[in-house]
Amino acid sequence: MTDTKSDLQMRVAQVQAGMAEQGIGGLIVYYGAQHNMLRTDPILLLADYRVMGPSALLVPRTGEPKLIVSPAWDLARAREQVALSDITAVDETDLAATVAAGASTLEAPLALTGQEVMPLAFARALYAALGGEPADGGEVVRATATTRTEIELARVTKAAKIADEGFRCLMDVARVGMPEYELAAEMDTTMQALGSEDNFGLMAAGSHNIAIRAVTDRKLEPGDVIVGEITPCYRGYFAQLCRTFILGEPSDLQREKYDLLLRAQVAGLAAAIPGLPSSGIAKSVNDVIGAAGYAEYCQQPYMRTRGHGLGLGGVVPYDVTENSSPALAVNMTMVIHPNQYIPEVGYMMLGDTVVIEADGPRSLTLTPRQLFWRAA
Amino acid sequence: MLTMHSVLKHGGLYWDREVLPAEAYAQRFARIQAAVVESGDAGWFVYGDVARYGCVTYVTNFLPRVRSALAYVPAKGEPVLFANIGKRDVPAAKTITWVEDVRPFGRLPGEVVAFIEAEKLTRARIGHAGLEDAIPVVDWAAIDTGVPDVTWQSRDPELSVLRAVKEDWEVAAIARAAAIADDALALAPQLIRPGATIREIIAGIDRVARTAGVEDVRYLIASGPQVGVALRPIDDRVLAAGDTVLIYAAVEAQRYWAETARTFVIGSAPAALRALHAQAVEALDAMRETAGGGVSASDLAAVAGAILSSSPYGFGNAIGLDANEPPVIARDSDGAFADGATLALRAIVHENGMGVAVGQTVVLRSGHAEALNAVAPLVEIGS
Repeated sequence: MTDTKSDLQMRVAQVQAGMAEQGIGGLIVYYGAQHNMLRTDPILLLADYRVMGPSALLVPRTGEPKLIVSPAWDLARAREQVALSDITAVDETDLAATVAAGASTLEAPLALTGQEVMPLAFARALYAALGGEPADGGEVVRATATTRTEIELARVTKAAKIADEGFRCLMDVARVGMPEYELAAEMDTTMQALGSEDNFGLMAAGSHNIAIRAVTDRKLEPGDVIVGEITPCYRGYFAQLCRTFILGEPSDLQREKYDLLLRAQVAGLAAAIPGLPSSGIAKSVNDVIGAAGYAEYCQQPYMRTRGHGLGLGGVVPYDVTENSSPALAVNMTMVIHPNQYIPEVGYMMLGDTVVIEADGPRSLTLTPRQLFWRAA
Repeated sequence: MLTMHSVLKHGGLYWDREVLPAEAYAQRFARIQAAVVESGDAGWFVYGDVARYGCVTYVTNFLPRVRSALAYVPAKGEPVLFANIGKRDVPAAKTITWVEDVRPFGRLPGEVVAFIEAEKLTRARIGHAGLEDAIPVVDWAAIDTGVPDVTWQSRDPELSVLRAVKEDWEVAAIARAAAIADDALALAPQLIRPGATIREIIAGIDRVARTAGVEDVRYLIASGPQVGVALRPIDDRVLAAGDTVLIYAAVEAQRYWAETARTFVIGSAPAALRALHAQAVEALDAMRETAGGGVSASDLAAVAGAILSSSPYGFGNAIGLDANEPPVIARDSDGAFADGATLALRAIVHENGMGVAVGQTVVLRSGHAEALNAVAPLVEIGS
């Protein structure tokens, strides 16, 4: 396995190649530190550092980038963890001026990424300090986050293993009378102790769920269908597991409808072949669910997407819908989830994180694909 | 205090009407609407995102768990809440806001422009709050371009004045969060031991806070040689005998934040560490004794700074719906605290290879500071 430093150098080289191709002399990569499971963190991608405050990476056309983080007191951690020689830490109030000063050493023309998360006041200060608004360079970075390297894949795999343990915890501790938030707390803290540093965790419980949601103070009841979207993060990389657990014996109808999701997922996985468009996954899933009489439910608000790129936040192929265009490629990581509202039984969930390999997807989450239940 | 932002708030999201009374929001809305009328604006847009939601939550009680939300407060009539959620999420959203008109959006600019046009406000003067430090520049540019004849006016100062003084029920909510923080950290001495990792210890503490129903908890820690340098997010360092452990925790329960900070030592604390901790407590006490309605943030920083030479994180700030409300307690701060303000006071020091952390949440009432949680002593574990 290549070391982390070589891995990062390779990614930076990819960005620099993209800069050269687009005629960009220097690239300012801004990230606001609002970590988001569906958005790529470009500083984590290029410096392997999860920033605490708004920060920027200055990428020259050749040579090593410079990292500017905030707050000022985070300098020691940055210097410990980042394999770059030029690292500065400033308070947020000084960030725009510091970035502009650093950017003045880059070749022209400058480009900027991160405007989609850059607050208005900071943008005004930065543009004033730079003497104008640089061109958008976002695509240069996004293109780099398409597939996972060996080191990245190992982290997604570890996150997937933690997700499996999170669901195991859910099944072990769920009991009648327990508030939803307490069940979520048990799962989260179990996963934290296993190395999870964050979790995009949603869960709903009830006899007829409308959708997945944030946990509330509702207490679990006999017969509750508990749907869980468990998304732990290990060293910046996410994996997701979606499953359904019933606190009581499932009815024949619930079993029948969950079988529909299982068949839909098999169809979706079969379409996850390198070179094919990601829309094929959505079409395959929707065909199965539609053929069962639920075509009108294969749209919002009854479902969201049939999956999405996942690993370093949201990555290519992004949301998997019948209109999504990115072609699948070897070493993409994504979740494929035919999560679906079905009028007779409510919302049910089934989803796995996979890595796309030459002959198809390999599941990284290993929890069996079945409807789980335990007597209340 | 700035902490690592998580991808999603991890706790329960619900509205406990015993803590946050619905009728109080009606009274609050009437005050906000009176301020809108007084400003002469047609209405105010009040924005918040997942990291800085205090303004929009103040108006609506809605909490954006991911992305953002925007409330419109007209000079006359009912408010509208735009939330960056899917259609299917509207029923859940309505359980945590008193606002009837909840509109989901995928892209904010189009929604706002269409609303302004529909309300015939394209030539109006409209106020905004919570917006400049949070809304993405690309979204603002699209709104501004879409309704070029609107005159925009920042109303951050006006809303800040309303938010600065906490009502009794708000103080009770903050005290509740402070009590949960204390209860959670009370477990720390049982978990801190040689061989344990920081991540395992925080998981145990977090479990206590989370099972109490909090919406979010943020931690900063330092252990071993790190304590002489700075706090940091949770890591995997393995503790050893003799280690000092600093834990800062900010707890959000029913929208309101409180914070605390504590110092632990595995074994007996060296005399120099005890002395430094005593200094930190003295600085905290001095701030609390000086604090009262009308006191300036810089004066508070001066009394603490006379005792402690350094304060990399500042000596505190106002606290409430946001963990970091203005003003910050720093020597160059130009704000003051009104009677009724709630403050997070902290004295966290790193020097000579040592570190200590103490913190407390207080409310200013009748000219003095009342503690909402206790200042914890230096805890020696297994000595």
